[in-house]
Amino acid sequence: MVTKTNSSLKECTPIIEVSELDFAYGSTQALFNVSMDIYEKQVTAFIGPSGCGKSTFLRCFNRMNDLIEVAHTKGGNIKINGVDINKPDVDVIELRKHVGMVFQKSNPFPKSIYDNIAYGLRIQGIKKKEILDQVVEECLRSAALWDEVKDRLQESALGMSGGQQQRLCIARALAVKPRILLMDEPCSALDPVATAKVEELIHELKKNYTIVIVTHNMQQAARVSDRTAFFYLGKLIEYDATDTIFMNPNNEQTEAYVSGRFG
Amino acid sequence: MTTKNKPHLFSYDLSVKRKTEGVIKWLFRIATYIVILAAGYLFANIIYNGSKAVFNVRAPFINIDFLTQKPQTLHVYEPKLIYAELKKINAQQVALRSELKGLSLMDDIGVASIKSKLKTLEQKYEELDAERKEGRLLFSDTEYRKLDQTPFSEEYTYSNYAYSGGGIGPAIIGTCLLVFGSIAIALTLGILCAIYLSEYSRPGRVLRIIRLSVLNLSGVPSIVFGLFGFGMFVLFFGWGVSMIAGWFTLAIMALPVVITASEESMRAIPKGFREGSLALGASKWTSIRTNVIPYALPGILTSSIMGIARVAGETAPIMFTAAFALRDQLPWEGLNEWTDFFFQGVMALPYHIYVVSSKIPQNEYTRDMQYGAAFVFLFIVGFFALSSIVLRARVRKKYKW
Amino acid sequence: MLSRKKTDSCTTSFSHRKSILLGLDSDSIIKKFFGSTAMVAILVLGLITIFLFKEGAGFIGLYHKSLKEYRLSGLEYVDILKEKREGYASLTRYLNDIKAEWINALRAEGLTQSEINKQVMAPEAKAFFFGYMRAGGEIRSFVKDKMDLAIASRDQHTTNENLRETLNNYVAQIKRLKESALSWSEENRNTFGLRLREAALSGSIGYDEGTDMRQRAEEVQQGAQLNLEDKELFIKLLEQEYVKVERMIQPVDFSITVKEVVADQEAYKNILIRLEKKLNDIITSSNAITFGSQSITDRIDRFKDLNAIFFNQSAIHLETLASWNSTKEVSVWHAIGAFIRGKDWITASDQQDWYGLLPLLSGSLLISLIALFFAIPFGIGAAIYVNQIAGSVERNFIKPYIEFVSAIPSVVIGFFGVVVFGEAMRFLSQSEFLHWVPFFPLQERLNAFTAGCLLALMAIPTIFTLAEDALNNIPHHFKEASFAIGATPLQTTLRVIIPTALSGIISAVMLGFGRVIGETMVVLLCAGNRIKIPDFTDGFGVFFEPVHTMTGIIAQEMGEVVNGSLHYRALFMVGIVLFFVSLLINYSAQRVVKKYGKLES
Repeated sequence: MVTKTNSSLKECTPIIEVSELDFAYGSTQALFNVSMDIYEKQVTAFIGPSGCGKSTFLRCFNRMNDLIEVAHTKGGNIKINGVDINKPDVDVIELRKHVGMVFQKSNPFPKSIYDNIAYGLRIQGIKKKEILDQVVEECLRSAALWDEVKDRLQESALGMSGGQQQRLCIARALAVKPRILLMDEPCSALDPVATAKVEELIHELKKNYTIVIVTHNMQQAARVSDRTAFFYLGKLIEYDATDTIFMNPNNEQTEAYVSGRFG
Repeated sequence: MTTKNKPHLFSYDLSVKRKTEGVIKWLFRIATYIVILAAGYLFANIIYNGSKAVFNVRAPFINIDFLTQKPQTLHVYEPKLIYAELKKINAQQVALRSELKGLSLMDDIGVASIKSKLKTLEQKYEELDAERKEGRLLFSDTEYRKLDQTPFSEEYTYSNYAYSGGGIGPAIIGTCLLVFGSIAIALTLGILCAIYLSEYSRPGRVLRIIRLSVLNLSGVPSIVFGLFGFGMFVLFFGWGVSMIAGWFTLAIMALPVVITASEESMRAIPKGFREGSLALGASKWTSIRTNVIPYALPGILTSSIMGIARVAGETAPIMFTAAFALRDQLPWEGLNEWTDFFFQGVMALPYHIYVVSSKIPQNEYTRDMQYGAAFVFLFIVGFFALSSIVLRARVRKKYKW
Repeated sequence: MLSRKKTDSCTTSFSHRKSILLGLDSDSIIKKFFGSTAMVAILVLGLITIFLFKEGAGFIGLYHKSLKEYRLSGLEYVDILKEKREGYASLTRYLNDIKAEWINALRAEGLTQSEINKQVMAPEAKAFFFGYMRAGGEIRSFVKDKMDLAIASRDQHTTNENLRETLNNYVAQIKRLKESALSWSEENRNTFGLRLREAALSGSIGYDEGTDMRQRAEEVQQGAQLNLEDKELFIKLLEQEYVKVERMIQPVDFSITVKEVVADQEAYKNILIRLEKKLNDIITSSNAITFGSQSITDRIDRFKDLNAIFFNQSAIHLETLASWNSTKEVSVWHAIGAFIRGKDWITASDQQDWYGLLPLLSGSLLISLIALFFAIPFGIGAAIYVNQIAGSVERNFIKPYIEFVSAIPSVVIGFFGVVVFGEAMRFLSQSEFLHWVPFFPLQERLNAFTAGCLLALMAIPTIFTLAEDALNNIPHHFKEASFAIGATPLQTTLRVIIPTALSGIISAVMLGFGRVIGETMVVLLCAGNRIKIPDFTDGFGVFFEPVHTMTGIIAQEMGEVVNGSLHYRALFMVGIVLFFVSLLINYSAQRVVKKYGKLES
């Protein structure tokens, strides 16, 4: 499906390879024959109208769909780092340690800020205070939150503002040192100022992480991503460098969508 | 996190920690199934032993006498000779067993011979026991009084057991009357109360106090309700130990459940139903009457049944307010005026079970009455509870907004 | 809808709805009506409180009076005397116990019965064991005499009071009769007939001939018209009865009778001294006996020590007796304290009735403790399993099943306990391979443990349902967030879900506790019903003692008491305690949820 690579993009190795994926909830098929590669240390955005399957697709990467009993993969496969993640010998827990996720609605645990971030380490059995302290600070710094919260690390995370909570969730996801970070409309519940901060953060994180972001907001996709994929009715319509998608799309539907004529 | 000794990045983590996780999961599962088995054994035991009393091998398969007759004293005549013989065998068995214990394990021959002796004794015992069952004479009170002559005391040993003969008819009728009366009162009061809570009330102090009262009322021990009913209905109102006192006591007990259930079902009706009606110019009461209650009623009834099943199962509240241990007349017999119907005490199954399990000994003659009563009662209450559970699931599916 | 709109009184101008009553329109009347029915919950709670207090509050006054009489009549003094007697009696029991052990030890050595008899019945041994028992005859009879004195005066006093009440009734009746015109109530008519017949039989009245009256009595019985003459006759009869009853009253002056009870302190002292001397002689003589085994000799030594302690306390004992004063004030607080802190619940005794809460409260708590010990892990464990681990098929089976279990009537569970579980426990405790358990085989098949286990079965559905609800209310996104970090399902459950739902789980446990402590039928049938504070020095054996509970005592004794008596009111007091304990539990369960259960929206 990848038709051409824009010369402005640096050459990268694919980290996620999807081939001919079919996915269904019970008898309703949600994804049809999707194939694409996602490249390391780039931001890839999924756009498309509501219900087009982009969130479902995203949740396939860390098998979050396992939580829904009727959801199942009907065909095709997803390889991350060359490993087919739907094979029975894949430990979904190990997978999720490598593929972090940030949700649409910020969802900090009802614990202190510190404990929220330390959670991911503690469940791996790391209990040493020095290590925890260090990682918490590191993650909060990477999430550009350290200066705002360093004096109230022991306070409940539920007392933070919406934007702060979302950045805390990003910091929390970073604590387990994933290589890929999935973001499911991370800014949809945030005001423009908070959104700008998160976008800035995404830009920073790109240096070290592969980021896949689902967004409703086309400007946001244009601002933050290197590549963009357009989904419609469960099908991948077009996937290319962001500039190409927005300036010079190949497909009529894509053009109609990005220019705001539908969706 | 190292990938060195793993086939690939995401292969299974085989650490001890992860294995213990599986073990802990199994612990939870075992705890759950122990509960299920314990309760299941209780059901099975009562159903198995109870069905012996309630069902017959011959048509019509149901022991109608047991379900309809009044409780009576059971008069038993055991054949003396066989009884003495049995006792002798029993003594021999005990002696042999203690001898067996005294023998060392090495003495194979001795052990074997004693065991074989025991076996023959056992067989003999069983034969004689069957003979005894054939030969014994059982009379209920009415039959006993009709006898021209009691069996000879030289041949038979006589004993009697209260409540063990006859059946549990009046107790079943009494329980049904108590349950239906209290349902009617509880539903009326409870639904009215819930209409206020969900439709008319404004958040504030009064509402808070009402809610607190309802919640606290649900935690009051049943015996305290019994004391209250005794103090208020039986003594203060002068109703005496009567059905109506039992109705009110039980109804008050069921009230919290009915109120909560009704309020929940009414709140589940979407706002749009009321607003649509109000927007057409209906008064508030009209819109409640036409657009809330009809849709809420199935939910109210089904959830309330559970509360009623619980109340029907209670003994403590009716012990001093409504129940008699033994009453010869059925509720509609011997009434001077129709109002007397409400002011008479009745027999009730739960109280009857209490009486027969604490006041008479446990043996083969009383067993049928005890288990039979427990089985019938469990069946009645279980029927209410089960229908509530099943209906509720169905109503939820049917009325989804 | 449209037709209804037309019937509403409004025209196109937005006038108010027509008022029908007191300036209220129909809708606000309906609202008021529903508002008033909603008060029913508050009303019922209020009424429960009122009626419990109405019946129970008189307890304090009556108990106070009873305790006052206890002191005035000298029964309290006698009880102090009895303490000493009891001390001696328990020493005797101890000695008998040693004797039994000795016999057992001898038997274990392989001696025959006659050989054992020879040793145990040897003159010196006989002198020791029997001599010790016989030495106390003097003190026993002394205490008994004093006790009889005190009881007699107290009983006479009680009788007098009852008689006085009867007299008051007569006075009131005569007064009513004199004032009223000729209106005979059914009751009066019956009494009159009865009195007439009695009078005719005894011929006690010098009015007309007996035969005449007998005839009249029969007429009255058959419903003859009653006239003025009858009324006067009735009054006369009643007055006669009054005089007769008045004569029966023999005034008791406690200040005199108590002197008799308290007298002879010097003699008592001498009795004690003689007893000490006698016992000491006997004990010294015991040195001549050889018991063979070391453990028995040790116990004999211990017995000697106990005797020394017993005698040492005599001085204090005598002092207490000397300083005892029948006129010392008994305060109302004393009566309340005697209820709340009382260690005995003794009713219908010939000496003094005691209504102490402690044996019942401790029994209730002990059983609740056992029940919760089982119900908490199983209830919460099952809730976690069903909510977090089980698949949907299992869940759809287990949840309704446990809900169904909660509907099993308590009396059926109690019955099961009596017939099956209690028997099984006894059978198990008698089996050989469990003999190492210190308190097996069980003395009683119905005990706190039996009741506790069955109550656990009742509490599990409560705890399960509420805890499962609490777990279910945790927003789904917590679980997702935890999974997305790579936590295992169990880690997620233990570290995120349970801490978040903790307030709900705690409140579930508290409500389960409320259910257990308020349960009646199971404890009534299975707890053994022995009114005694459990012996907590017994280690784990305490869980296997029969106990009585607050709920059980009400259910058991309420049917047998006289309405309005002290005993009756005491049961209502227990009900009050139970009521407020359950309110407290319920209220704090709600507080826990409110205070700690706050999740962001």
